[in-house]
Amino acid sequence: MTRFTRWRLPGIFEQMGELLVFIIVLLFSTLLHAAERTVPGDYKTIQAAIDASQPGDTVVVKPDTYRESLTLRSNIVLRGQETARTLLEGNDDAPVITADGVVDARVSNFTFVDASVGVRVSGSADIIVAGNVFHTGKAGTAVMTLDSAIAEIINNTFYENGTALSRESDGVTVRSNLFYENGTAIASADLTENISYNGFLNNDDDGPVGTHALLNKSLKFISIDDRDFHLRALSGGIDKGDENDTDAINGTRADMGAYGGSYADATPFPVSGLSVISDGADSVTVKWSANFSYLAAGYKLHYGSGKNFQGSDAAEGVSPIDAGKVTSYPLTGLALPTPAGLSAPTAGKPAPLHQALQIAWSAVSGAAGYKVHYGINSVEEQKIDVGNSTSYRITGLQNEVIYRMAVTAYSQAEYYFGVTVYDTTSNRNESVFADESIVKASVGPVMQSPLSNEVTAFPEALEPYPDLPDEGCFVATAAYGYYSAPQVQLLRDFRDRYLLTHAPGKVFVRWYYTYGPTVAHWLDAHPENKLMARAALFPLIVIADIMLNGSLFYLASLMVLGALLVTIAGLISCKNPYSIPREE
Amino acid sequence: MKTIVAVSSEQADTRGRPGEVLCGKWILLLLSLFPLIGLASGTSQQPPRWSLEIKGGNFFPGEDNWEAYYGDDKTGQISGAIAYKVTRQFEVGIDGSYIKDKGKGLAPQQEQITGKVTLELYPVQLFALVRGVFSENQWLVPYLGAGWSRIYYEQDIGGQEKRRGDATGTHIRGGLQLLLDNIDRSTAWGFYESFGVNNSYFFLEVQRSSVEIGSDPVELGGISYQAGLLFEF
Repeated sequence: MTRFTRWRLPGIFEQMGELLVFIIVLLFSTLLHAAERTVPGDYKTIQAAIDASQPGDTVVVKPDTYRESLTLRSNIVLRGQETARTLLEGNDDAPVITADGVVDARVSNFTFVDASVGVRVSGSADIIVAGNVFHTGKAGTAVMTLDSAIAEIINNTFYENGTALSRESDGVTVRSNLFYENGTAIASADLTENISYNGFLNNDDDGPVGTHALLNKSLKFISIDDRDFHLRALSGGIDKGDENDTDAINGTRADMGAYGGSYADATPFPVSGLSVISDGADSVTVKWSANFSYLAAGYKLHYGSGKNFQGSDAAEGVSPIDAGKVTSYPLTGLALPTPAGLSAPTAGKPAPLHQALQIAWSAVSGAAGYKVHYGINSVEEQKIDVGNSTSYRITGLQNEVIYRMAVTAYSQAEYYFGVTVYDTTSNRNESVFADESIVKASVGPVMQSPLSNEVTAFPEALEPYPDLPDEGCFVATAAYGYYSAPQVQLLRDFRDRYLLTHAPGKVFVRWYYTYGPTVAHWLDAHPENKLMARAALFPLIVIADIMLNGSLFYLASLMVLGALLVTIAGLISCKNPYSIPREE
Repeated sequence: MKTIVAVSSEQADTRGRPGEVLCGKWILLLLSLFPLIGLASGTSQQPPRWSLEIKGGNFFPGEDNWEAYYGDDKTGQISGAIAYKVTRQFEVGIDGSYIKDKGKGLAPQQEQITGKVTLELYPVQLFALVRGVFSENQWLVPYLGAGWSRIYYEQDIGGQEKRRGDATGTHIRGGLQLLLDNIDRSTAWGFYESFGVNNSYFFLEVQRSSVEIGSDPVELGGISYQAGLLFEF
């Protein structure tokens, strides 16, 4: 057996070395394990990110709507990037999040919607559900705790749930939440311990309200319809949460609800309702809807020719401009294109069509769109804005009449405008751009290029290849003797309007075109039967006429007339019971 | 070869076209196979009476300028047929097809090919054919047939009234069937047990139809090359 000689540090140095190794290992293990996993991005689904997580990891979910049934794992944080816009939707009857036998995990900053159960915690310990909005619906349970679970339900907003919180032990701490318009706010039997600093308003049954409760005070959410549960000024929930807890946003005593306390999402709700009013020259006024959060301090106006908002040409300053606490802001001196910069397009030879002409032209650099000019005597008789296309079909023309055509390109400056809101804190937390926070607008006068070359052509009926004859509506044509008979035209119109617009009608028409000609040929060979064929077609023609041309009054009159005829026919054919014996 | 080509009334117009040459060679090959296969013939005690076939392939229209208007000298075709076997060697049946092509029309005064035209053809054929089958286990079965054709058509010319009609003519057909039962007998037996299918064939078929319409005749027929499956029951 070989014995290896180890190099050793003497005395105290050896102990220090071991301590150093221990610290390095601890440091590395912490670094290795505290990863942030983003969905979507790193993972397609939230569950995939949870499954891949190591103890200490955080799964960050970006704003969107997710429909998954998630199973939580121990020692992880599951967090939405923005509470109001990161929606977890119920998936059938399964809970959105299940924590079964989980230790030390946190779920925060989500909005739970349309679910039978939002979060179900059973047999677990040290679970934190914080900073969420629960709007599961009137039949849903927002949070359900079972099997002696130990959890903290803090700083959530519960709105319109069947049961906001169902707990069956005092091990579940309920603190700094807002319960608004729920069926039952807290279903907790007779257990009243560890319920404190919660606000209750308009619930059918508050349940045990615990200590320091805020009862029947106006909560003043900003917009329930937009799921913006930030608090307005003078809301009863401001600074009324746990007095030992502080707001992550502004550092004051914790607010109640999803945007108060240590785990609150500090990102303000996005600005919406943008509109731009142009004066036709180089100035615009941008307007937006106010953000009524009591923390909103002002707005930043971003502008530029692209969505990166790198404008610097406005007299008011470089983008973004701090607009202060206003909801409209003027921008002047925006850069506009020069008229000389737009060359004339080149029009190609138009393609003649039946009562139409198809014209195409070359693209012009810098053009925002094109206008087709046409007429019989002059190209200026008619003008159509065709957008950014480089070809157009002019319809509604007369066959065999020569038309003159030309094209112009036009250009107009286009700007993107975006508005964000920032809060009163020293961090100046700023909202992000949602789709409704950005608007694109045309600015200044429309610059038009010279006319293109003038081209002429005339529409004409096309000849198909091969040039096959039209034998028309076989049976009706045969029955009425000629193709253009009004009854035949009526049936053709009925076919085109009512039969060829759906699959069963098309099948019928196809079937008819398979067998119709045989009947038509037979009618041609046996003209004595045409009267009978017309009689058979008559109800169809009447129906077609009503469907195509008839008003409701016309239809009702016909039905009354039909009923009358049937009654008269019935009366005539009905034999008098007394007359039989007399005749006999 | 001369006998076959004489069936077409468009002989002078279509001579030398790829479809025409292939068609003639196909039929010559089939004719040559009949005596060879006859040597290995046998007889069946309970022959199937009916056959059902589905097939698809290309249709080469008989008109010359097709490519100028439709961008290709051929278009797709799908078909189905059912036949009654009077004897193992002789059968009669009905065949229905669908052919569709999209192309352009002609602005006659300005001589421009333009616009959009969609042509749909619905050929219906009654046919009789002779099969060179003499044993139920025969690998290759050549066949030849002829019959009556009627083609219903519909032309959709962008923005104009649709044109519809039909025309009647004749056709010949020939092909070669490969008995699939010999390849996988257990599947063949399963087919028989489940669906009553006695024999299954993969086949290749060529058809030549001549269907004219109008006083200045337009040929609606053409040559079809199709492959498909045939089930005897």
